[in-house]
Amino acid sequence: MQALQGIRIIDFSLVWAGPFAARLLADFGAEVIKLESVQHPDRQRFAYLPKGELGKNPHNRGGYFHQYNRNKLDLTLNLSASSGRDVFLKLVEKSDVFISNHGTRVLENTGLSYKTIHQQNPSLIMLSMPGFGNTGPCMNLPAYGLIIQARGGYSALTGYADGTPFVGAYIADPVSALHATTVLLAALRYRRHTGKGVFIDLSQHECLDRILGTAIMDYNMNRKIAAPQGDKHSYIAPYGVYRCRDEDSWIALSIDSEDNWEKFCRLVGHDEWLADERFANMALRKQNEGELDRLIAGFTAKHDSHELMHSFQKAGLAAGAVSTVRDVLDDAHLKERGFFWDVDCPESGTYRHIGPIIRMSRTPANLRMPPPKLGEHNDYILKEILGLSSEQVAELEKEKVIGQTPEYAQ
Amino acid sequence: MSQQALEGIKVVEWGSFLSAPFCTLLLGRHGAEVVKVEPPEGDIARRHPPFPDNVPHIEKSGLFLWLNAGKLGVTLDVKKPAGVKLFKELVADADVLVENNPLNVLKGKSLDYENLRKINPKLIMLSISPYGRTGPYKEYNAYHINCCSLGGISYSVGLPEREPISVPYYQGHFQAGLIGATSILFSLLSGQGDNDEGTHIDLGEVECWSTFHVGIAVLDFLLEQRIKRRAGHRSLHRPYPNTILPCKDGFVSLDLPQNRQWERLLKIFGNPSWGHDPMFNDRIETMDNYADKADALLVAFLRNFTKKELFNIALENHIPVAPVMSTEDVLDNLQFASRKFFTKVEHPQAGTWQYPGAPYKMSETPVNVEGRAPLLGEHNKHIFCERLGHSGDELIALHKEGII
Repeated sequence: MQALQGIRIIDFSLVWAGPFAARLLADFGAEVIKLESVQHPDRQRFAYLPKGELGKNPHNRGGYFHQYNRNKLDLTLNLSASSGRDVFLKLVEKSDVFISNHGTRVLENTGLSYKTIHQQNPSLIMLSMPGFGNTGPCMNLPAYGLIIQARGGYSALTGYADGTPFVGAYIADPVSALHATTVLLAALRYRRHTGKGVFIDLSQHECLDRILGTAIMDYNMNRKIAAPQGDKHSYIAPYGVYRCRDEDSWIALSIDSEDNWEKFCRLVGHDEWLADERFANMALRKQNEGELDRLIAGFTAKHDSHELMHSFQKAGLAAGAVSTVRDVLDDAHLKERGFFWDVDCPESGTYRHIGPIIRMSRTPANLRMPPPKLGEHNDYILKEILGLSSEQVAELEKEKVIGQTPEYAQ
Repeated sequence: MSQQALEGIKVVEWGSFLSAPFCTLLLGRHGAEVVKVEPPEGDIARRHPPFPDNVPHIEKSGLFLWLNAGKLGVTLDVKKPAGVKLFKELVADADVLVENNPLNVLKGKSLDYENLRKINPKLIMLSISPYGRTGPYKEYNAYHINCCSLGGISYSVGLPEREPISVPYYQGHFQAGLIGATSILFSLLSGQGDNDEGTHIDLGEVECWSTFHVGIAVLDFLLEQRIKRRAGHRSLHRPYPNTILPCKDGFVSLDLPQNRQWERLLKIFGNPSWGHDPMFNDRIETMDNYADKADALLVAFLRNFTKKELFNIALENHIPVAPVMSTEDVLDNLQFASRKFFTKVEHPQAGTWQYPGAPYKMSETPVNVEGRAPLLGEHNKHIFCERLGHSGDELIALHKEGII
């Protein structure tokens, strides 16, 4: 039995954060209905087409869409049409959760405020997660990961200690998605005990700042404006990334105690560093970090990063080779742990997906359905779940309230 | 008063630093009771800056304070047999155990899931480790920098000619805690109480990095056979600009994938003639081949605006442009103030400070933002004597032996 068996979720979100949260819930057994329209399909349906080829139905071949929308059913509904809105509200009545990452403006314009939805189904949980939340001066600002990260104070911390801010890794979306799943599941438990629905107003911007708590506390306590640290640790040395033999290959090292420092020096064949008074203890090593790094880099430059990692780890030292994506996908450890799922994607073939990450001994995740084509489950949802007749469905199709081909190509 | 979502759930946290504590913080904020087990000398986080006036003190670490707000705190030396015995009593009485210890510690004391489920068959146990509890690297040691590197995220951050950088401020540990909280909630929802059977959740921090990859790097590689290279202040193979550029008093970020957004920016700049230069016909081409030239053109305009002015322009014109805010800017931010994101927390030794609160508001079962971090061993008597039934004399003896 799956963890979320029997829970029905309407996923009215686009691109990354929302779909990712919904997908995690789908991987663990929830019935997730992705809500799009032929007027506005999720634009990630047009991103990362295999080998860049359009194929017959490009809107079903988007690799980005595939990664984030497996295990979901797909329904199209034009919510600007009153008949579309009626169908939507019927679906609300039969659902447990509604997720949206559209701003409040969009929701209100389509008549989908929490008030309306709550009236239709008082025990529904609604999660609204636009970039900057549903209130406040920024609430309608278009939000991409980089924008949220810049406003959230995160970009200012990304870079070398001596440099200017970098774009870095995009973390705003996954961080928000994971906060979303946490609070949604908590709300579901609350509902199980009380029968009451909940409205959750989540700000992706704040999700990012919660995890920058340390920088915030430093400012509050000492008025210190946090700066990029590059790869350095506040007190451990050696700690950093060192160039290895092959092109653009590196190893990350963290030598955190006197015992480990001794082990390290002997392992690399530089016993003389143990006698060097500049490196006699951790504080001195931190002080003389520049020179220490230079010496270590002199050693690592002659070796293969993965071989070094294994020999250091055998001795109990914290070392990790810097992996490229290719390395990650080929990683023996990850493969053995069943980290990847090979998914048969519509009109595209089989592609490697990142699995659900969470490994549970009971109620594990599983792959039940491939990523859906546009409007693939219109019939099933409208007839089987909502009890509409074939005539009613045909009428909706005629009015383009539902369909399976986008109105326009992107 | 609205009932809390996780009311009645008892969580034991046995770990240190960031990942396990952040996980239990999230559960505690939704009403679970969290008992944090520290060694007698305290969690290493207590020694981690920031400190008020930069003076280290084990009750005043800003990191420790906000990460452990609202928890009960006990001390226990789980390396000694008397400590192991008490620990098992704690676990027998709990619903959830969150731990992030090295594997050899667990096995050495028979405190792995196989053994703990014998004393508490309903236990939900979450183990967070760098590489997971199975697989060829399960005994490997790792700090944040190692997880980022092996997880593949570092490769894409920094300058191509310099070393790759891990993500700032220990993001990896927080991600692991966050995913951990979700996984525990999955368990709680699947009615573990009814079936008399607990579960073991095995989370590897290196694997958490996948959540950051799949948006771009994995797809680049699998579908377009391209490996994402780090490029400093810009992101390659995206429509130009997806970049951070200097402005009058700092830096600004721009991400304008849609053409109408780009047109609006050009309009704000007064529709300069270079806007129609063929180098902007395909903006992905622009990014990969002409970015330096394009940067110079944009910066000539951006240099005339302050961060504040650019922010207002962005709001008025509805374009995705945002100043790169420093921590100071963030804390002065109207958006946060209007959403009451921060809470004041009093602490008998550290004083009163503003802590980051919850990034969401709930109409029912609101998030609990009350409570401060425990002093070292503050609840030993409450837990060991009142809860588990040991006498005051026993406690004194344990203290003498250094167990608590």
